Amino acid sequence: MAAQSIYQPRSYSASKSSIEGVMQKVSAFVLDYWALMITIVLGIIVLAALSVPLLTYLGLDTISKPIFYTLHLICAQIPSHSFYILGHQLGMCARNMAIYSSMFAGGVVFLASKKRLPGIPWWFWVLLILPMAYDGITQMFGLRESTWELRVITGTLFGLGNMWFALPFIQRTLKQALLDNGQAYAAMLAPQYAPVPPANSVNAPVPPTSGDEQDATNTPQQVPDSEPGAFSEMEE
Amino acid sequence: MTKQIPVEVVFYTKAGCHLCEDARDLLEEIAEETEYALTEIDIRSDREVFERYRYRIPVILINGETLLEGRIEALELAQAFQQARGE
Repeated sequence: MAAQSIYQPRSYSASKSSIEGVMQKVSAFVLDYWALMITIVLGIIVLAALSVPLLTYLGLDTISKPIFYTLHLICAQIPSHSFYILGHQLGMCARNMAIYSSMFAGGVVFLASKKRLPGIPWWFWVLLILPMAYDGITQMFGLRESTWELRVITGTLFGLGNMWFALPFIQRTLKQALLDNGQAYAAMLAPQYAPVPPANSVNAPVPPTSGDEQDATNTPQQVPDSEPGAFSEMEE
Repeated sequence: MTKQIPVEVVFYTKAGCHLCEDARDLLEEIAEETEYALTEIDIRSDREVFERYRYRIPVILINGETLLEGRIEALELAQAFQQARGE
């Protein structure tokens, strides 16, 4: 049996406007595919950076130049800090290549685990990003000069740490929010969808008669477990 | 009237270098305002120069002293020219 997503959009009212319907579908899509979208964006960035030297080598400067300049939005592109393919500079420096490649790899692993990859505690995440912070800051202030090996290693730790911490955290938060939302939603709809017991039923519930009784407007009607078509069946 | 010191610029570059095209645009902008002698060198023309500058281009050498490289900003190039002219 195919696995069913918990994020299926609920069609609970025929009178909902089409805009709300579209918004629901969009939000359901985003909730289902958010990790895939992040991974695709990261993959495009890495692919774009790799394509710059190849396109330049092939003489396709009209394509490679806009890609190169666009990537400057996220990278300083310092030549001496960059890798070269076929004698041409990549679209991002070595550190950023390591960061984005490892983040992309982290996204792929997270998706391959069907978004069940356990996260890491915050202190471990901090441990993973500290080496790059030290390497970058000491170099920025001219205290020392880093090497390409250090840039790659610290960048990879940073990228993996970010994804390993953030993606499971987002997934947990979304799941919890949806579960909470679903419970509140079920409670809200309960009176409306509670089954009407048959008139000749001997076990028919007695309507409330005083203020001590349940408030019938915002709580589900109590139906005995033996009753066919009980409320529990409605939720399934 | 103060006499301006002549400025000699050596520009190390290579075909297919996007940052070199930016640097060349900056040099052309400066040429509209001040005179200087420009020598453009393709680093692939000399093995030693290639090894020295292959991971650094564009490289701009002004009067054999000031060296700018990599992603060169307009402001730092203008300041380097002012310094070279003795302003």
